[in-house]
Amino acid sequence: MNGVNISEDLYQILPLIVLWGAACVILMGDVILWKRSRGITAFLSLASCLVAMWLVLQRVVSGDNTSAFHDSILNDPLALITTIALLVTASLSILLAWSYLKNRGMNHGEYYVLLILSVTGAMLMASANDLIILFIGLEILSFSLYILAGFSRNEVKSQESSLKYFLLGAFASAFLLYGIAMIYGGTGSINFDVIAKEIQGATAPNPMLMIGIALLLVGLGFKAAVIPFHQWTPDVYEGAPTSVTAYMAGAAKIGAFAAILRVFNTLMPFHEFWVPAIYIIAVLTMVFGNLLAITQTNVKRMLAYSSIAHAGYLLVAVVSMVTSNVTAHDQAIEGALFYLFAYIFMTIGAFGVLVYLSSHDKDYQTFDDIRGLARRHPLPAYLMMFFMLSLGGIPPTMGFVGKWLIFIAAIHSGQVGLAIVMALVSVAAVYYYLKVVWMMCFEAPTKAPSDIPANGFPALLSVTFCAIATVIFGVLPDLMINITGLIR
Amino acid sequence: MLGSYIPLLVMLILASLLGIGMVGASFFLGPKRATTYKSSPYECGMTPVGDARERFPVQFYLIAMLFIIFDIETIFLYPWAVTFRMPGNTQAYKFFLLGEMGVFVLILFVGYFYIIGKKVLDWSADQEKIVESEDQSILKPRPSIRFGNEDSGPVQLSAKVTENDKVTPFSGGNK
Repeated sequence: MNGVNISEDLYQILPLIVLWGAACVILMGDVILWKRSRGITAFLSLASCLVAMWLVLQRVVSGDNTSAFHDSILNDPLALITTIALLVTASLSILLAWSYLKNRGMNHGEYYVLLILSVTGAMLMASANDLIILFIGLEILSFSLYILAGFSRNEVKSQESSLKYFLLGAFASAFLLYGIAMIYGGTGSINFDVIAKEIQGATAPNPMLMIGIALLLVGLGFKAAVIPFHQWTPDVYEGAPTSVTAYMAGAAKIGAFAAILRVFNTLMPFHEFWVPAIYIIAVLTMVFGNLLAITQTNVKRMLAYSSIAHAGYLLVAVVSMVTSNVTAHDQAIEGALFYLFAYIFMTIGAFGVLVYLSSHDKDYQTFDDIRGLARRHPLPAYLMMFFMLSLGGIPPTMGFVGKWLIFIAAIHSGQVGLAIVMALVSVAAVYYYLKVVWMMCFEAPTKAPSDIPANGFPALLSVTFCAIATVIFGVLPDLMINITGLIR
Repeated sequence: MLGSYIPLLVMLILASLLGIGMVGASFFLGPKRATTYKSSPYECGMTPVGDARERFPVQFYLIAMLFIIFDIETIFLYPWAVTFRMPGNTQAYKFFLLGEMGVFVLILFVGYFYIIGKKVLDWSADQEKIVESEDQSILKPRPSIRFGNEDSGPVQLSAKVTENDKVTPFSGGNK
């Protein structure tokens, strides 16, 4: 009973401790020490994210990863890689928010603190080896996001988005919790290792376990925004301040997919039961996510539906995970991880361009806003073009490689039907991505250029970084595959 | 496995049937003769004055939230204290437990200093702001709602409903 291994346990969650400590210190400093200069707050938040990333990278290199806290936390390569993706998302979002919050008159230090806290929640989700830790991580992530979505306190839309996200999110959390209770009832454990051992050799789950798996799928599907659990996504993404939307689209999805990959990897013996469900959800998500995106006239809403569609592609990887072929299984997880990286770079980049161009009084988001952008602000317009091409999956970009990896994995594991659907809807997707490019480059501006970006250097830096990453990892995907290949 | 729960299920069904039956029977069978007095809110026999929907100072909610945070701290202290004095705890382990509680209290103190720094407990500043603001209407007391029976003295019980009783409730104004 005596804490013999406590220092080892704490060492395993050192990145989390660094971020939590930093959040406390930054909150205190922001309120008491440097009351008016939010630059220090933003800088310290960014620094703490980078320190945590350095600690994680060191761990990736050294490879000394054991489970901690009685097997409830597991820092395996899957957890470490998703953690890196999360910290990249957080760092890029902090850079985006730096000037945006000042311009929009909501420059409160709590923004950065909440952002750091929510990324710790998602990190906890990624390294959870235990359903309760998974739930706690999900709640830490979600609570911070509920507040961040309503951060623009004077805007009714932002308030609405926050409340909507909160109510539906609480509902989904209840589903998840019921699922956890049912799985505990069915297997007698909440630990993934024990559950895997318990169900080994079984072919059919008992009814309690089956209900548990279904409820868990609903809860995680809500957080990952897959159809039919997607209704909140466009409204919340549109109403939330754009910098929050960028962060939310990245972090919540990475956390949810890390959890989905781990949970369904554990439940592999029952694949005959959950594969049809995820198969249908994946097809629905890909088809309707893309079709609904076509009709949108608001870039933020369009990107929200596009993020739903991307969740569908990721689900294809989850289905492809189910195969007797070990190489194809690893390929599917690798493809999903690569796609997550591609997704965060292109999504944060696309939202980041909108953040960069936002003026003092409103977010930059309608098609009227971006019409003729290439003539008024060539640099952000061409960066946006890169992201649109990448989201559509045009070759020299990361989006293409990611899609290709998932496509190959699907074919190797015998899911040819899904691969065909994926290829077809990708063609439909190119239409609405290229519509944005067409509007920026070939149409005349419909309104006076009132949108001079004021002091948006950090945001531009973040967007440029995303664009460079999109191209470099698109041309030299091996750099990224070397990292994602660690899961083997 | 679940067999022992069957009496509980029977009990649950019986209890709900009884509750629904009694409320439903009185709803369907009972005579309904509404008078002004019957349909006005029950205030222990007093004539109701004003509306229950009053404007609360926002500090009320803040205090409620802060109370929950520090209340939970106390709740966590109890099991900790019990664990701390468990027989067999070595000195080193006790120090570790003390450190754990120290971290917990430290995090709570962060919250405490945050609310002090945000002037949540500094109420006078807000009051002055309201007085200075142009919108004075929020400070004015609203007129109380009248039920039309304020001047009629004690209620006279009569067997039959008089014409005077058939006033729509909450119509306001005195006849």
